[in-house]
Amino acid sequence: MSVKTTRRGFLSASAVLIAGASVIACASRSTGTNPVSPTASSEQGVSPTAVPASTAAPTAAGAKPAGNTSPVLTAKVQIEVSIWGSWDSLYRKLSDNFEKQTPSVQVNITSAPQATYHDRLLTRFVAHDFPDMAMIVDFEFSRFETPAFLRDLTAYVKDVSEWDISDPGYKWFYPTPAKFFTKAGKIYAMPNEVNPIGLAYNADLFKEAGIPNPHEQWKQGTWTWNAFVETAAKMTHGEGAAKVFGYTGAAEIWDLALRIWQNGGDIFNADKTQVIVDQPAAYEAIQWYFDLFLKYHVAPASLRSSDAAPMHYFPQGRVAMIEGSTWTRQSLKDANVHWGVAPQPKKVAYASWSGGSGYTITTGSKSPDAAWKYIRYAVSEEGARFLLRNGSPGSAVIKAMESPDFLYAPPDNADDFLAMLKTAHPQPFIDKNHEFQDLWNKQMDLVASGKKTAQQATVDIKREVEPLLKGS
Amino acid sequence: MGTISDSWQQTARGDRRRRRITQYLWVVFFLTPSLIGLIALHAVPMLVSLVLGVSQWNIPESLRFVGLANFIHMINDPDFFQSLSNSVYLMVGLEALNTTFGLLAALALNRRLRGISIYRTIYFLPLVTTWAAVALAWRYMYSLSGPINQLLSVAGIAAVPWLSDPSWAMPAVILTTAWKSIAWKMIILLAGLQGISPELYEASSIDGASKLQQLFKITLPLLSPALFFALVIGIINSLQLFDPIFIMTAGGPADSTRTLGYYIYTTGFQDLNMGYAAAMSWALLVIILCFTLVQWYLQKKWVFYE
Repeated sequence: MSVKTTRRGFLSASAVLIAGASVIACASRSTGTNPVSPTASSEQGVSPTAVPASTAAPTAAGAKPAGNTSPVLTAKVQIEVSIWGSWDSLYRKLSDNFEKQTPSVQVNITSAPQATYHDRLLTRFVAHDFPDMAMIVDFEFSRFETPAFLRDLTAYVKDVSEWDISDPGYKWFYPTPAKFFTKAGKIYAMPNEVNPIGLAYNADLFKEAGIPNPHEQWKQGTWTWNAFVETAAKMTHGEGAAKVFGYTGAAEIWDLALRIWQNGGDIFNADKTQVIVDQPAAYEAIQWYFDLFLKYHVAPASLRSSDAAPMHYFPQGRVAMIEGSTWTRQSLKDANVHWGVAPQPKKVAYASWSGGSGYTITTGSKSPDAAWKYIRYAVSEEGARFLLRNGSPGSAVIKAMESPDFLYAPPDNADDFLAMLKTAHPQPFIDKNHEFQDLWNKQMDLVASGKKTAQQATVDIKREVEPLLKGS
Repeated sequence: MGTISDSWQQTARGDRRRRRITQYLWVVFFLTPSLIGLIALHAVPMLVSLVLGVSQWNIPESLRFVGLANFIHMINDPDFFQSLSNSVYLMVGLEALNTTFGLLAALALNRRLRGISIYRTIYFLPLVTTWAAVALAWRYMYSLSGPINQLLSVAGIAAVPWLSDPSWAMPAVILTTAWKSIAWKMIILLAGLQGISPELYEASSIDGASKLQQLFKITLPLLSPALFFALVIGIINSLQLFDPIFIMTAGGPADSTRTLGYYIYTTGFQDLNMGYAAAMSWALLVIILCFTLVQWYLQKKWVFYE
């Protein structure tokens, strides 16, 4: 008996076959490598070819763990290092050097664009997809600073013979960034970089104008707020598209905190239980800064506006002074401008910022000892100087910053960065940092546009931010 | 003979029932992939969101049931109402511009001209351009030395700090979003215009109707179903708008462009207050539903169905 195949029957059979093939294909793929991590370019944790290293001590290259009689297996541990931005190639080079010295450890670098890095990292942590080591910036740190995510590194730090854990910077790092990553007696990160903020100035513009540049005025001991305003006013000249301005900036929280500290004030009290920005030393400093545009007209636009864009004006030689940090070196790498750096002027005292990022070991790391070895290498004098030589803007390692790998031109007077670090203040970040910065930015926008005075704004900041400090 | 007939009828009924069951099984089989997607990507997230809305969760710590506390906090949260007000401001401005210029563009493009498809493509291009590119270009346009301020200076008007002044930032966002999304309205209305019979225009011309009279007496009434659809969908989309705020202004300056969608994002993913963010997203759903129901009711007054 012959079976007549209809078109409907043929289509039905085809659909069944395709569906079945898809199910089989998906089933076989799901038994492969970890599908959770979208950004990891390699496996985490232990290589399938290696015997897992114990958490007590990593096994040396070529050594066989007890009980393993296979002569072929080598004890090689894989760790994943998560960083942001375009630092892949820099950390790949560092990792290659590290692997030569520590053949038992293989490093896989994963990265994400800086703008979304911390959000992605948080998503991975929530999904229990932990890299072994993660770099985290200071103003995002509060989101991660919990035993659920990060390991306490205190025991590791104690074991380093050349460090002194009783010293704020362990006699190795600048103390301010080192202390920042410590909470409730636990050390959650090793400081990676430090970014003191001074002033970058266009040396040629000052020479043409015949006016002492900021470094010269600082050396003479005459570099005050009044001198700054006078200098900026003298440097402002011209009209239209050819106009040169004395100063421009971005009015981020670090720019304003600097001025507050220079005026003898602060945003929070020492133990961050109170907001004290509503005191005259603080709000006068904020008002003075925004008045550079609103009153003194030495800036091209409102200092909270993208039109004030320092990196638009400075490379074109259209502004005499901008905020100058270790990052400015990278920003001006390809710019044809002769620039120097100097500390910020003082009102009551000199003061600088010292923010940066830190290296952490996650709680989900399967190889914390290997991750610690990597961090130790990165913050060693050799590792830190290597990073500086190859493009890292600054380092939290004191010896590295005092070496020729940091103290080179441009800019002129690079050693002024070291002077700034002597007057560095702790970052004004709190546990609920995002909420605080949202409230802060809103009020600063209103002051910058002239819709509120700094005094009014700081009263509102105190009222709205102080409840965030409770229970922190 | 009756017995044979009964037996035959029973057999026929059984066959029909088996065929129906087989057909239903095939229907279920072909619907299953879509149903899985619907359940996994819509129903499950909605259920999770509902659970989050009555809980407190900041990600590192475990979920804690708090009942209606998030909704009570919302009622007392001035930032929620400011964000809602910004969303409504954006929606009204955007829909007014979109609908007006979308209609004008559709009327202009509803012609049989040589090369008309090129013009339609040009008008459609902003819609398919990514927000990243649009935001970059318009940020330059709005800059102090940008083309818009240069045009203003020609007219003797002082430069406007569009994106840094709280009074001007939202109009700037509305203008940019309208430029990008007019094409969508234009397409819907163009399709509606092409559904109107030309004989109506011919007959009205014979009766001496002017172009303006044709527009108000024929075009708009017959276009009203398409207009209604475009408005309903447009209002739903504009109340949820996120991309231009995220890329151009980040809710600033001074929260003047912080819409409810952006506030939900920052509350959940920056402040890690997932429970409150979920509660606000349900509130947004209810608000959008209310707007839609009001429009649905009002359609009886102005939408003309043939």
